[in-house]
Amino acid sequence: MWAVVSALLCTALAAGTAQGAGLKSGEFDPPRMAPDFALRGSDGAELRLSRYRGKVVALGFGYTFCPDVCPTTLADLAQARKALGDAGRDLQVIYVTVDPERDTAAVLRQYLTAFDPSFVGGTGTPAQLEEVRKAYGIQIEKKNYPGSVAYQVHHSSYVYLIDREGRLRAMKPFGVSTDDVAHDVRILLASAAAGQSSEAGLRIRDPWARRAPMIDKKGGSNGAVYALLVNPGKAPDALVGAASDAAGAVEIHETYSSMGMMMMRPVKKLALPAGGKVELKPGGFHLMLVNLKHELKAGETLRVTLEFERAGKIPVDAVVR
Amino acid sequence: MKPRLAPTLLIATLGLALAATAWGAFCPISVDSRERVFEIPKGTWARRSAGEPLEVLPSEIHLTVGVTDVLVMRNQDDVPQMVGPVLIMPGQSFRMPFAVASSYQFACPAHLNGQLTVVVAPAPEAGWSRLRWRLEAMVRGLG
Repeated sequence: MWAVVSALLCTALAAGTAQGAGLKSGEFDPPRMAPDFALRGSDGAELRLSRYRGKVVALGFGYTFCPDVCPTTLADLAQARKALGDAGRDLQVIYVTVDPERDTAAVLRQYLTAFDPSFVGGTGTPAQLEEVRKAYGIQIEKKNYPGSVAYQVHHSSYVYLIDREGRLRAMKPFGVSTDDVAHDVRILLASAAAGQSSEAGLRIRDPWARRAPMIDKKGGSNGAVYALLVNPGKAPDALVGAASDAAGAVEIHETYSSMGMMMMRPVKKLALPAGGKVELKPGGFHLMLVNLKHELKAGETLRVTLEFERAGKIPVDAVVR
Repeated sequence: MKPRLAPTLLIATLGLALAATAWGAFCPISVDSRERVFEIPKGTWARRSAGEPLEVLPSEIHLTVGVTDVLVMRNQDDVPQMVGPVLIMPGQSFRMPFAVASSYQFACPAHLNGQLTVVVAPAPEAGWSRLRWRLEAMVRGLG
């Protein structure tokens, strides 16, 4: 009997365990605008970060003579881009050299094309490159091989992820799997899609969805949508409804605990205070997709339109996990 | 106490102890937050500039996969701070999840020895490992 009691208690507790809804990479909060720069691009044009506004940018630092870290990082990014399918076209990899002595624009072009022809390299004067490194906190150390003029450059091995609006959102450490990179880029592509911030300034960050673990009483399949609702304005607002072509109805729900069991109830209005934020998350407030019209598959994107009292309707694209 | 009450009490106590042990060993660990938060306080840069040998972060941070596996660093100072591998602006936080148990070494100018180590332990598995984790957490809580 005790085992049964213990198991029931465990089940109730597990149901309330919050799951992470963010990126797999390190994330900046609040995100700031990524420092722009002007370098010589490997494609022959001036390389400015702002040139890629509208795309998600993976910004890395390295050099073509790098024996291990750079080839691995670039191969991972190329693989992640392929894994994204059509959406990969909206991922731009920029690789800025830490070794301008050897990495001319032509050398960078030849090197990067071997990984993916869309990758763009950046080079410039030592002073220009130092300024870019300083803005991004990149550290380097040039080391000569003993008794030789040959050298290598030890450098920070991570990659920054910059969203479509040009904000520095995340830092991917060396060694993060290709799947995790694709996962994070997918979220950034969806979260910064056009129309996800309103004229009133509301921001819907990192929307994602999943199929509900339980089948409802009528045998239908439900799902849930989560996101961070941010109201930077001076007037309060409220989420009053939502709709999606993927479900028969979309309801605002709240998860609560009663007698040790996790229950859900509909909520008519979810207040969003001025200068505040509300997180829709597992075990808390969420949008319930009632009677899904098709089985949700990990990686697909659902268009959900949120309706706010003041800001009106805001469409968001939620990635299914 | 009546003679028949003693065995009943003993059985009930044993049963409760057994249930508590079963719960401790098999119940998934649930925590309010998986984040371990560190702050760089306001005035850190000024105090360091004045020559004070100030350590604001431990040089070794311990995390556990699936339990406390998200490192959060907040910069409350007035100037940008390099912490571990990243540049964190004033008022900004950096949130780093760790999914793989390992020992991570970062160059870190925020430390006097220039190094930050993050030791990530594997998730306590059901059974003795989880029970031991709970007992250790309880002891840490009492301490």
